[in-house]
Amino acid sequence: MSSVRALVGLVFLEIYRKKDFYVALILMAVILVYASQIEVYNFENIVRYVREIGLMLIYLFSIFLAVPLAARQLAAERDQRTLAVLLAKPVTRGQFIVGKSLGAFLASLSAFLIFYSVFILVTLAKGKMGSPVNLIQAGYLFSLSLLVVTAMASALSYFLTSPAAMTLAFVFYFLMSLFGARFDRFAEESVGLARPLGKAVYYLLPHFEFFDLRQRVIHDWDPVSWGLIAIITAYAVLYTALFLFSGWLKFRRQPL
Amino acid sequence: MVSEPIVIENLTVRYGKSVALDGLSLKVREGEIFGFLGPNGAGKTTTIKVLLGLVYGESGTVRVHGLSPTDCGARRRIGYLPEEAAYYRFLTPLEILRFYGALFRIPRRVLNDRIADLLRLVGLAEVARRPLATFSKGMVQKVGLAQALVNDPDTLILDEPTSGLDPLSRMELRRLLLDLKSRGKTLFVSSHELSEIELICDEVAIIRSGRMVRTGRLKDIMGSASGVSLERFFIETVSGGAS
Repeated sequence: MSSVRALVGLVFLEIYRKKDFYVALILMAVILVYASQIEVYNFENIVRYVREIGLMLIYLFSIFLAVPLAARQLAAERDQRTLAVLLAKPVTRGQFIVGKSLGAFLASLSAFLIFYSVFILVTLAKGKMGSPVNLIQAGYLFSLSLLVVTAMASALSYFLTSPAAMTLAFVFYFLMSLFGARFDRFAEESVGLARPLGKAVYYLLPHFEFFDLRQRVIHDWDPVSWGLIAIITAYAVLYTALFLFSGWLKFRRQPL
Repeated sequence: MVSEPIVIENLTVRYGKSVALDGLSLKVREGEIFGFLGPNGAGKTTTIKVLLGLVYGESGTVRVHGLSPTDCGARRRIGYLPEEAAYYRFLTPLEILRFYGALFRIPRRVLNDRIADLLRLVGLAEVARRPLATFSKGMVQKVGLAQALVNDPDTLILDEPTSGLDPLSRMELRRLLLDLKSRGKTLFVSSHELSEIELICDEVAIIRSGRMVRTGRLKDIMGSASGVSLERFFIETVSGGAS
């Protein structure tokens, strides 16, 4: 456990000592503050507009930090020639995979929470925060999607080069976030190879749209039930475990 | 207590179709400095990687302190200095040593004292809080040496330890290795610097194309070579001139 903790700490230091995070934070804060000053809408619409822009930016920046961070962990260890030294210590390959993926998740989660706090402050400054339950549920579910996407990018990096793993993780994430719910119908309407391929994508890839509650926050709809949140949590944990296990299967006896 | 911390018997390693090690056997006695020699591509680094559990043998047995090299128990007792030392450039030496120390579950107070001693030992105490990105190659090599010693290992595996060091640092390193030996540590040193090996090693092994060509006590080997230098003896051995 202490090995995993040490690896998590290393990934944290990496993200906060590089400029990417600070650039994203400043950019997001500037856009949010600017958006909240626009007076072309009535008050209600400004609040919705700020929420929509804000949440979209937070989700995008968090994903754009999380995926590369997770996908480059193994490659960076190889490029820096630190992998052999690290794995010559009492660290199992399984601990390496879990530590690096968990590190990427927790580091990107911390960045997300900072972004989210800025967002809440800006919406509070406009005088209407919305339902706190919706905000908690949306934040929690997006955290779960970060867990799954970092595990996915991390697992892919054991099979592919870092840029390929990163690209594929982005493709899968946006594909399933935007079209996940409709993929089954697309597959049904397709012919030839596209049909089984579409079905496979629908059933094998994690449905990232399950983790997206932005519309409820933007429009102040009723929160979802906590039972459903529990089911989605189990779904996220299952996919995370499957991704990490597949990475371990590939990496456990790989010569270094 | 195992009197031979490193035992390799009939080890064969292949990378695809090419044979990296072909039935290699060797034993390293406790408390001695073992020189591991061979031309480029002979299989020295592969042997070291097997000892560290980074590469798996196809056949044969490998024991490190009586355990499989993949066993974390074996790795707890080993320190490793790679040939081209490279560490996390965004960290300081202090953070690097804390990180590696944490992997060994060393209690914080013990670790802090040990890190302070190691930084003094390698002459980096003054720059302990400077990021590694600002360090010269020789300074990075010193960080490497400190990380290899952070767990106070029983056995040190050193791959070209003098690489990148100036003459003064080499002399200091030689003194340090002999000091470690006097404290009962076992050292497995792979090097091209035959003059260094000649000065510090008790026993040497020479490999070529993944096979053992010659092994024995340095004084016995050199005795049989009637006064030639180790360098001359090595060249003759790897080119097939010595029996």
